[in-house]
Amino acid sequence: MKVMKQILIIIIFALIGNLLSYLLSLINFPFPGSLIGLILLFVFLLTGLIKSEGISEVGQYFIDNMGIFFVPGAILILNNIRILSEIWWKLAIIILVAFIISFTATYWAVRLTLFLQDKARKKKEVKEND
Amino acid sequence: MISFLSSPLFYFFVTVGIYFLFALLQKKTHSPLLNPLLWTIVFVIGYILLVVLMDKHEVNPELIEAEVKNYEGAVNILDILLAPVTVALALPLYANRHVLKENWLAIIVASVVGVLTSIGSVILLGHLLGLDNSIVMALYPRGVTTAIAREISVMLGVGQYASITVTVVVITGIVGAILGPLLIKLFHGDDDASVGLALGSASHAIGTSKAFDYSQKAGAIASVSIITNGFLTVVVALIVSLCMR
Repeated sequence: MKVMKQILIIIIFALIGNLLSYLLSLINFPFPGSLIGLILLFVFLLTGLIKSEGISEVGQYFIDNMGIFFVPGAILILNNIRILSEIWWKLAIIILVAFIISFTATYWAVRLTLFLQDKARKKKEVKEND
Repeated sequence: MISFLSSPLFYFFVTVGIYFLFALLQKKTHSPLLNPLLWTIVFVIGYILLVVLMDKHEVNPELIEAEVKNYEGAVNILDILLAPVTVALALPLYANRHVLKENWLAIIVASVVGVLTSIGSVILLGHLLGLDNSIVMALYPRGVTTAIAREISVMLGVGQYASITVTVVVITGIVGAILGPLLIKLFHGDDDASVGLALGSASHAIGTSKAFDYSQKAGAIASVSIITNGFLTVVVALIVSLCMR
């Protein structure tokens, strides 16, 4: 009973997301339904309208085993096998280089932000002490 | 015999069985190389090819396509449940809401820089390597968590390549979990926020599992950045798809 209730709650949020996504698509605004559902569920959790314990068993199960739900979509790669046999090495280069670039940039951007934040904080403290 | 081995229930059994086996192995070894999704993709592809070969005594794209359709019918329920599974990502976001509140500026900076350099380098490299534009677009969400990445490739109108998106995302995560810690060593990184945000925003959930090796805080902040990164990429994709009209 408990598991079924939790599944139903999460499915309802996914369905509301899909419905809103459909309505948005009518005004030419494509936005993924599952993400609308995610935001809505987050807001409901924040406001306490839904308790996180009330969906935690099924929710945690989904998150811990998320990978298996992508298998059907990923297996469709077999239909692209001709293209892949030509471009796989290009994809490999992009995966590697794009990772190094974005990882390095993100890392140093955060370091800089923290450094500047720290400096601003110290400046403020000095001012307050004057 | 072959009709038994390619029956829906047997296909479902093979899928869950391989996934379970690698999830178990990964739990024991903590190696990102044993990613259950990646190996399930590899083994199921091998299994489908084997079924085609045993059944028809030859393998060609048309026969493969027909058997893939048969397979998809067997595991369709997993695909249907993907939307509620994605919605469940609200739970870790909620659990780490204090981390979000305390580090919001660093998280936003990480997401903006991560998303722009990610898409920028994909466009640049894709162009240099002479890749077809629709495949380049399918690679935009390369660093985003799988659930959101797949939605983005559909949004961009390249849903026919969503399977490439999913595979590239998983491999990116594995590459990130291996290379990320090496880069951090190179940078002499020690603070939780930069380590967590770099791992989370460049290599999503698989990188995040590595962030937890540094500290609880690095892991928590990485989990939050997965979602913010995903959302920002959706916004960029939205702008791109609106501009394309």
